Amino acid sequence: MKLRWIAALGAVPALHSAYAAVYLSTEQAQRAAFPAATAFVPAEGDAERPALAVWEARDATQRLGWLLVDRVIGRTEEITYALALDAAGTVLSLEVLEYRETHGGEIRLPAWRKQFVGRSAAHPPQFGSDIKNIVGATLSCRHVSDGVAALLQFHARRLASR
Amino acid sequence: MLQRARLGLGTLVEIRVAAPTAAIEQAALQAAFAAVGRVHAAMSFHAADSELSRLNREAAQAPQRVSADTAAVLALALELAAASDGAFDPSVGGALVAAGVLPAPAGAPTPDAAAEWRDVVLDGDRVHFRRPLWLDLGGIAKGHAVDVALAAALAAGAGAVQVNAGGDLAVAGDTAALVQMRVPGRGARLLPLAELRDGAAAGSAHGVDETLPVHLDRQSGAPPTTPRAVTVFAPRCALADALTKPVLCDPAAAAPLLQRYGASACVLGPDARLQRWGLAA
Repeated sequence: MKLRWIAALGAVPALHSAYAAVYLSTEQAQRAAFPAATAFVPAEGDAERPALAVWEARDATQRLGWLLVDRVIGRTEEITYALALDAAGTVLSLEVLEYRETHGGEIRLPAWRKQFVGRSAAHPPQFGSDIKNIVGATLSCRHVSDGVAALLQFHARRLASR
Repeated sequence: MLQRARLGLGTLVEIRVAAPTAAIEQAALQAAFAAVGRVHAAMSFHAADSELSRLNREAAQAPQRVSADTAAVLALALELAAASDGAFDPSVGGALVAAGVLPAPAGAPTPDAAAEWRDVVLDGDRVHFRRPLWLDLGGIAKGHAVDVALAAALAAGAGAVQVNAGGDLAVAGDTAALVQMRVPGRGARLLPLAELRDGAAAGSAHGVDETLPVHLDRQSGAPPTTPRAVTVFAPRCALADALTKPVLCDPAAAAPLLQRYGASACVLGPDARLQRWGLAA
């Protein structure tokens, strides 16, 4: 284990920041879930879930399934996720597209980040300098589980018969 | 570089890999997420079909065989329980159920109020409880899952890996992680602590936010009275994860334990001052 300390001991400076990460774009999620699809046809969503976007995945002859992208908002975080269902409504995959902390709304980059880039230039991290591993982040998976349950109901109610 | 996040271990599991080809990156990522899934399936307190739940139902009656992975985690848990004089105690399940933190396992005998980690007997791949008790590996299995995910990605050919499961993280290969501590209180305040290579970190806090996980001090049987946020750095994430508990209860008392395991802890106390304990690194 190699550690290079950054924090000074003693009084803690107030650095206002929040974590946000984009893992997959909608297009990447579509291709990952349905590699054989030749078309993703936008479909009507659900008036009760304004953030929901729905695509029908098709190849030349048939429906392969559905990709549903939705957002859930927790007390301090926001998660955008993609649920892929096969034509029968069985879950193929669940991927997190975006994770964002919502404290105060605005994401601000702290000034120390620039400093850090300079100091680590001798050993540039392979993933770049924007890595943020936040110890102590709390996340409720319940919101996503609840969201998935709602989307499965939406499929049964609205998509299965289309 | 490829990075993905999925839900697992009751949290957001974020994995980044870098490898010479996109195909290797994809394979490494899948191997890492699969490893996380296996640990979750074996060691979940909530899932009735996990190995852990079977132990809680049956290990008080007769010795139970467990997988090598579960046996290894339990061995480390018992070693740390002995080394910390019970400040870390995997038999805390009963107390956590009583505190309303965990759901009572279905069909498991009521735990003996006097049961503790010394009543858990691990003999090779067999586990026996001397008294009825409820084992909870929640304080170490998440860290272990991070370790096996990291190892799986490396074995699949990744040259650099980072795994972060809700603040339990590990890095290996040609990469460094900037580890930050969330400063308890209103708003989102982050304190950059260290740049970490080839190692692990885990965080925990108590008494500062009602959404944070609950810990019980085994000496008093109650949550620690002093609000603190801690981050432990250790060679392995299972160690870092487990060591957050003794540090949370009493950082000074846990300092020799940190030294012994090559670990270091940053502690943010109620006076809003940062302290460091254990290995100077």
